[in-house]
Formats: sequence, structure tokens, C-alpha cells
Amino acid sequence: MKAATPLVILDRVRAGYEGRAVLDGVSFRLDQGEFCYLVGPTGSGKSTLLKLLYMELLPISGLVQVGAFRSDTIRPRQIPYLRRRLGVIFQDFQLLPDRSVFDNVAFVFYVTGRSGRDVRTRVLHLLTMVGLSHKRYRMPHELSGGEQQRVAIARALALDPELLLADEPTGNLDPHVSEDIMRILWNINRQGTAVLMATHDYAMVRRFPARTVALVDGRLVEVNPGVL
Amino acid sequence: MVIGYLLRESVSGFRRAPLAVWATLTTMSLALLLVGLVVLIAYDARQVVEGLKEKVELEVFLLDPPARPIEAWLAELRSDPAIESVAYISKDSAAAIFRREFGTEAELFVAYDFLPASFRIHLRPAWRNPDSAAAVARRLQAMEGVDEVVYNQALLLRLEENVRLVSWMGAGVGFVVLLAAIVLVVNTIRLTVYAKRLLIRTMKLVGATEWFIRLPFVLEGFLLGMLGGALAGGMLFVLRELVLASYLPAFQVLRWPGEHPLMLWGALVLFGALVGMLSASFSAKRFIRRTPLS
Ligand SMILES: Nc1ncnc2c1ncn2[C@@H]1O[C@H](COP(=O)(O)OP(=O)(O)OP(=O)(O)O)[C@@H](O)[C@H]1O
Ligand SMILES: [Mg+2]
Repeated sequence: MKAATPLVILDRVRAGYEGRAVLDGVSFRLDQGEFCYLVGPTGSGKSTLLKLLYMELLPISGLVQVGAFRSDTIRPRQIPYLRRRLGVIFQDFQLLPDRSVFDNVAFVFYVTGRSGRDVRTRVLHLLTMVGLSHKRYRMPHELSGGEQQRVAIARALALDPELLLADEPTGNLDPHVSEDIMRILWNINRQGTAVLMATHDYAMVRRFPARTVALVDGRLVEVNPGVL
Repeated sequence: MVIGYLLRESVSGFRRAPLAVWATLTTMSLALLLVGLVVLIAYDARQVVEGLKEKVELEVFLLDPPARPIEAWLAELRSDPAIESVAYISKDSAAAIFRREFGTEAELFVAYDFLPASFRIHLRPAWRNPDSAAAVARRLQAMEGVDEVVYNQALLLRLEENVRLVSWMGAGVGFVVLLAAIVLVVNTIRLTVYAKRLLIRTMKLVGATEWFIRLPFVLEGFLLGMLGGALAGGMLFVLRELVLASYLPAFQVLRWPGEHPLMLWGALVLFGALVGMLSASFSAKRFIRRTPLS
């Protein structure tokens, strides 16, 4: 069996806003290809922890390491290159309303300096993966919430990331649409992408059981998904 | 594709925040117009002053009888690096000039004998200032056979003073006006950044580099500055060639800097582009950093 390699390491991290710590003494490790839920009551700091990983926020103390990028040595101009190794999706999808489904995904290639026929093929492949290639010329507002989230997933996967961060991806969706989204995330994980998913949706955690960590009073603890 | 994207995004501010863009374009043109006016006034003032200075001459009155032959004097004076031209006014011609200038009144004087011979000296441009002129005058005064050196020092001093005043005032006005233009460009770019915050957020999220995100805004500032400069240059041309020339014909003799209106126009376009680009870059950097990701 191959020894698991850590993809994400948090070491005694203290982090928060304007000097107020939301997370304190958080240590965490996520291996390549792993699937992990992040749960906790509202305001417990789930989104804050994800922000640390895409380095929108740097820790007050302690270390955050994602792949080769370390919070203590990273320069602001390197952060875009970290983000190219990650995909991020949100509860509110965050698609660009002024362009088509296709262009929302192709956008990633343009703004990271790629263009040409390869891009077209790759975008179509991504949209097929989430089952939306037939709606590629639609505008986001013409899609249902679940479809919009699938476009967001296609966009997040555009650059073939090692890690997908999902901040309550099913928070705005009804149960059976949520299940579709979960199935897609599950498949992505099976193809080798690590997934860290913040969620409130304990029913979904029980339906698709995986490693689960919980934020309680600023600390991170491992929990048994069965007892949620 | 990437080039197309850049161009599209940089003019999209004109659509997304039209009011801010128009406000900036207007201020930018007015600011550059004022800067252009300051430059033009300074240039005109210099031309006028140079013209006046040209007229300042040193009169070197000689003792009678002359200490040495006039030819020797002339040769020495003409080889002096400070001196552009020398004219010799003999006693006779001094009398003739006197008579011409005073007409019959001159007859009241019994003899014109009291008018000494003199040299009238024009200095080279570099010596046409109070200090150098005084130095040359002292030097001439010290020559043997020179009675007195006379020139209009007060005029030179006054010219010098006025040039300094006009320059300082011009620089002051130009500075203040430019500052206002920069503040406005910074603010416009801030508004367009705000109008595009969703786009910027997404670009940051998927890993676009800071420069890539900033470039369209910098280009927008560049275009605004260029347009402002072009408009300002056009207004300046109209003001000077048509309006001023018809009300103050004296100004027609003044030349454009660089001998052609297009020189100043081009300079304003370039300068506007530079100012627009730098202020936009500053503003974009600052406000893109502050755009939150979620
Ligand atoms: N940008 C910010 N500035 C200041 N405080 C913030 C900011 N973002 C979050 N907080 C605070 O940090 C704490 C943790 O917020 P966070 O969004 O990480 O919680 P969460 O677990 O994601 O909550 P939810 O389940 O509601 O999404 C909250 O008290 C919140 O008010
Ligand atoms: Mg949250």
C-alpha cells in the first residue's frame, strides 16, 4: 500500500479578524485524495478555516501548508499560483452573470493565460463531466440552483486541482439536488482529487459517510460521522 | 484572445461607470488644458522677456581723446565671448543722433561737443542677466580710456524677477491642478473596480495574477489620460490660434514651443497617458487588494 502524503497541514493555527481569534490551536492534516467533512455550528469558523487554505487569510500564529506553499514564507504574488492548485466552490455559486456557461468555465483559462482550441475541448469535457454540455450557451440566470452549482464545480476543476474546497455547496439546494451535487463531488474524489467540504447538512454526511472533523469553540476535533 | 480580453475589459469601464468616466475625462482635459496653458504662458513670457533683454545694451563712453585707435578697441571687444555685437558711435554721429532725437530743441545747445564717443554693445543671450551683465560692465569699466559704462540694470532685474514669479506661480497652479486630476483618476478607477468586484473576485479566486487583473484598469487610465490630453491640446490650439489671435493680434508673433502646435499636443497626450496610467495603476492595486473573495 502506498503511504499517504499530506496535502494540507495546519499546525497549531490561531486565526481570526482584527486580532480576535476565531480559530485557536487548530491542527489538521489532509492527505492526497482524501475526502473530509468540516462541520460545526454557525459562526464556528468553517469558512475561516477554508480561507486559510486559499490564503485569503493568513494565520496570526502557527503554520498553514498547502502543497509546497507555506503561510510563513509565501509572498503575495505567489498566492495566485497556490489558487491554481485549488478549486473553490461556495453556497452562492458565484458565477459571472454577464457571460454564458461556457464562458464562465473558459474564463479560468483566459485569466491564467491559456487560450486556443485546447481550451474549447477542455471546457466541453468539464461541462460533460457535470452533465451540462448541452446548456453551454445558456446564461447563469437561466439555470436552476443545482445546475449553477454544477457549472461552479466545472469551473473549480478547470485547472485539474489536487484539492477541492467546498463551502456549504448544498446549502442553497433542496435535498435531492443536493444529493446530485454530492454524487458529483464523490466521483471527483474517486478520480483522485482531495475534497474538504464545510457543511451543516448532517443527513448528507450520514448518507455519504467519510472522515469528519468538527469545529468546537475554536478547536478542531475528529468526530464519528455516525453519531452526528 | 488574451489581448482581446484586455481591450474589452479596459473600455468596459466606460459602460459600467459612465458617470465616473465622464467626470474624469472632463477633469483630466481641464487639468491638462491648464497645464498646457501654464506651459504656453511660461513659453510666451520667455519669448517676450528674451525680446526685451535683446534690447538691453551696454553703452561704453570713452574718454576724449581716445586712449587707443578705435580699430584696436573694436577688435578686442568683438573677440570677447560675452559680446554679440559692437557698434561705434563717434562724437559726430552722437551729435547727429542727438539732433535727430531732439530736433530744433537741440539748437539750444551751443556746441554738441559735450557728447562723448561710445561703443554700444549687445551681449550674447547667456550673458543677458543682471549678474553677468554687471560683471561685463565692471570689466569694461576697468579698461583704460573708458569713462563710464551705462546700461539698464533695473530692467534686467525686473525681468528676472518677473520670470521667476511667473515660473513659480505656473508650477504651483500646474501642481495643484495635476493633483486634482490624479485624485479623480484614482477615484474613477476605484469606482470601476467596485463595479467589477464580482469579476475581480472570480479572477482572484481562480488564480489570475495581480498584474493580469490590474492591466485593464491601467489601460483604462492610459486611454482616459490620452483622450484627456488630446482634448486639452485641441482646446489649447483653438484658444490660441483662433480666440486669442483675434482678440490680441500681438500674440500672433509668438511661436509654439517646438515651432509647431503638434509638439505641445503630443506632449500633452503623452503626459496625460502617463499620469492616467500611473494613477490608475496605484488605485487598481490598492482597491483590488481590498476586494474580498467571499
Ligand atoms: N471578514 C470578517 N471580518 C470580521 N469578522 C468575520 C469576518 N468573517 C467572519 N467573521 C467572524 O468570524 C466568525 C467565524 O465566521 P465563519 O464565517 O468562519 O463561520 P462559519 O463557521 O463559516 O459560519 P456559517 O456556518 O454561518 O457559514 C464569526 O463570528 C464571524 O462573525
Ligand atoms: Mg461559512
